[in-house]
Amino acid sequence: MKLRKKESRSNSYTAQYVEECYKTHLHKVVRFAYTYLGDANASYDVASEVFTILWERRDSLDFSEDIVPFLMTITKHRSLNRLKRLRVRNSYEKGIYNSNKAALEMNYRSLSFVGSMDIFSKEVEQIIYDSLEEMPESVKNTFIMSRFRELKYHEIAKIEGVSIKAIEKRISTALKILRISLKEYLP
Amino acid sequence: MEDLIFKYLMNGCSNEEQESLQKWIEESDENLRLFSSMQLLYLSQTLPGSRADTKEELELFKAIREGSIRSRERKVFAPKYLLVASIAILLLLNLFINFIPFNRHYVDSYSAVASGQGDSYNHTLYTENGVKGYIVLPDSSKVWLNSGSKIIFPDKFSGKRRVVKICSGEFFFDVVSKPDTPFVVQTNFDMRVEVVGTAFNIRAYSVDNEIQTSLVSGALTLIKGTQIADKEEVAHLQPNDSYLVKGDNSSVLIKNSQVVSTQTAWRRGELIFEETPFEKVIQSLTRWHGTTFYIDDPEILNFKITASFKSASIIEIMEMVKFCSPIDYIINENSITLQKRK
Repeated sequence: MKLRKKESRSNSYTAQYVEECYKTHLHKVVRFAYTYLGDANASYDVASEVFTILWERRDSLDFSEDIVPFLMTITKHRSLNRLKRLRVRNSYEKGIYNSNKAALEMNYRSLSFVGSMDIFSKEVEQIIYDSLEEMPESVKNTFIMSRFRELKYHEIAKIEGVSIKAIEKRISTALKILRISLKEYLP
Repeated sequence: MEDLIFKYLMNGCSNEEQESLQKWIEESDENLRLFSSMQLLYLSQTLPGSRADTKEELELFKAIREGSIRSRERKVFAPKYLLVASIAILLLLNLFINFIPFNRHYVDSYSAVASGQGDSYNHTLYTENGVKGYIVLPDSSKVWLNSGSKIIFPDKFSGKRRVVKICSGEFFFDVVSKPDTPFVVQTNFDMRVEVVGTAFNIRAYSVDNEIQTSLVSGALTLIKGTQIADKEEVAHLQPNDSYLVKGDNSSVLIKNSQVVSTQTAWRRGELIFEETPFEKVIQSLTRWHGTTFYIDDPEILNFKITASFKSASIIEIMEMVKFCSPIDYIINENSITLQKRK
């Protein structure tokens, strides 16, 4: 049997999509993994696994669709795998990971509890915009600076002329409001 | 406790605080739900929008691409042999099944023709798509009919020539040698083939708008026009020559035994595509298997396929097509819808 793969013309476009996707979303994937793993190296390892999968499946993916929930789903599974391995290792290498043991347990349980990754979908944006109106003015401004301008808390504190603690308090308030309006997207 | 969760999420907290948080989470699913929700929510609202385009990050992407290409090649390697082995087994089974219909589907419809040859009858033998045929002519010459082919021949040869007429299709002739009565095939392309005793293949599907004659053994003369009076010789073929005339009357003589082998492959139950545009592949498969094709995206027709099949079922063929091209298929009874894979 003879067999030769014919590269289709569309393949070079798909490769570009994947590269663009990598550039746009790598930091998000790394942040996701880091939140649960608390280890920068491991987070980059997970991210490279995630984008390897994206690369290999590029022909069957629809890049016009919202790709972030898809990326985050893979990231979740990959991160969970690592957490599971760390837990097993922790159980017989007593003492080595003690300082992180509580965090590891919490993060493992927390991530296992997470289902859908739709919280990362574009449709959530609109709900967030609507929720802004429910927030007190100062909370709203602080949240916008943090969420959309990606300013650090100390930067916002400087602009607002209040303490970092006060900014953290405002962000907490904003998150509590969002937790209610986004409850369908949360565990 | 909520404050502690926020503290953990925003700044991290001390070991003791982490341990008390952990204990609280393990107390109830409600606590776990709250923690899990807040952690995911906080994460979703703090995702960085920055682009990854530092040198190191671009290097990492290159490594991902190359790494996965290598692992992909490895992956393909093993299943390829599995595939070949499994298809080989299926083919052996198919071979037996395929040969039975030869006679069973042989449709012999008689049509009385008042011709200059006295009271002889002309027989018409045709094969539907998906069916092949085989007939022994009155002089013991043999003819194999590929799918969708039609031949007219008399119930006995008389006169100085043995004349048969093909209407459309593909035929393999194995002609009994009779030096004083040449064997003539009148084609549907204003051309005839004259031989004495040879084995040759004629592919002359009207829709293809081209006629290709390939000589396996003996000698063969191509003559323009179908009437005996026409004497303009177009070409003399030697064994392993193939002569192709296209609709625009351009012609080419191919001296390549590989081409002749490919041309006659159908008789051995083989379907061969070499850089064949999908448009032609569909035509072949429609004839070969009697399947109707529907196409979602005209771009599909431009893809080229290189593959060979031996008595493969349409599903085996489509699986292979899917494997070596970006085309996916949906089978619905006797029709197949082709789609570009997304």
